[in-house]
Amino acid sequence: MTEQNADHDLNWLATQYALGELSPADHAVFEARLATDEAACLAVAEAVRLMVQLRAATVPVGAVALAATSSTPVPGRQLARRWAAAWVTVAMLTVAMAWFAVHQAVPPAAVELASTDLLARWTHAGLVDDADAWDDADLDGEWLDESLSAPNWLVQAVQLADESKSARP
Amino acid sequence: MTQARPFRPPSEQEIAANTAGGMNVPAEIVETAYHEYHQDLLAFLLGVLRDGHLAQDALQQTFLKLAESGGQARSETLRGWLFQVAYREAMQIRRRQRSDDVHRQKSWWMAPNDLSVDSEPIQNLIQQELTEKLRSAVQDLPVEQRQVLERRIQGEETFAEIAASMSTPLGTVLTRMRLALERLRKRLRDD
Repeated sequence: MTEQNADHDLNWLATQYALGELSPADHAVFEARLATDEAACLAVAEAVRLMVQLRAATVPVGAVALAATSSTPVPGRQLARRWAAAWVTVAMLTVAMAWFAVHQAVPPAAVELASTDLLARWTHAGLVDDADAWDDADLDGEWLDESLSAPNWLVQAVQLADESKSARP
Repeated sequence: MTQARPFRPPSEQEIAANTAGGMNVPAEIVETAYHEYHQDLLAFLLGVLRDGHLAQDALQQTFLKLAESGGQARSETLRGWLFQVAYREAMQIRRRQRSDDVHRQKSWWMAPNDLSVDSEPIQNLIQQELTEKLRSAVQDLPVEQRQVLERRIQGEETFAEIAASMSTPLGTVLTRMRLALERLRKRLRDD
């Protein structure tokens, strides 16, 4: 065995020891060797340093998997789901922005326009655009009431806008 | 587990308070030896004890022993002498901890929570320049070697678990890891 091979063997043994990968018997043998073998002690130290450096140098597995996934071709159905998710996100952002607009000091006329328009869009998007899907779906009244009707806060906002308009001279 | 001491060589007061036979080695020699060897010793103790706090305790005890009885050690064999003392301190600590099944414990630096607790000793082992070189070298590894390396280093999986999830023989996974580490070491040496 060459000196280089012996070094490689010692480095690998030390790495397995540091990683806790040796069998209990091999672990005990190697640990006993550490009591008197300076080269083995140095190999353990070097293995630990390398592992710590590598941990700092490598990205987490989850991030690698995510990057790998995003670079692979996406099937059509998956792509459609992503588009749907993107549209839902945009819609939610629109609703949130409108809600802030309604609750801030904006002219009553603008509130009225924005909220009425939003209510119309919400209803249109929920009830008209998906009309075909409704035919196929097995719906019950509870699901319909909770998920597709306009939320109370939105209805109240529109009502408030209407009241403020009618109260004006 | 004892409270971790600050990451520094023992002071003259600490040496005086902790050494029964008095201080036989001048403090400046202890400090010089500390700066010369503490990283090797700390990394070694981390490998043996797998606990940042315990490793620091053992490191401090090692240099207290140097102050107390290090006069017996010749300068050319000082590192070997320090390793022997560190090893004995580690074994004593382990006996006190009664953690005989240490070979079954996961390496502490693999657990993200432990990293935050023991960030100081870990930070002392990390060299930014080396990290950049390693990052580049890891990217140049063959993909099957890189995959095993990253999963073992980052994922807290054993080689056996990696082999099972990859439907690959354990021997193949071990060989990939070994080859990856040899390539990285060679690259670091050549750079």
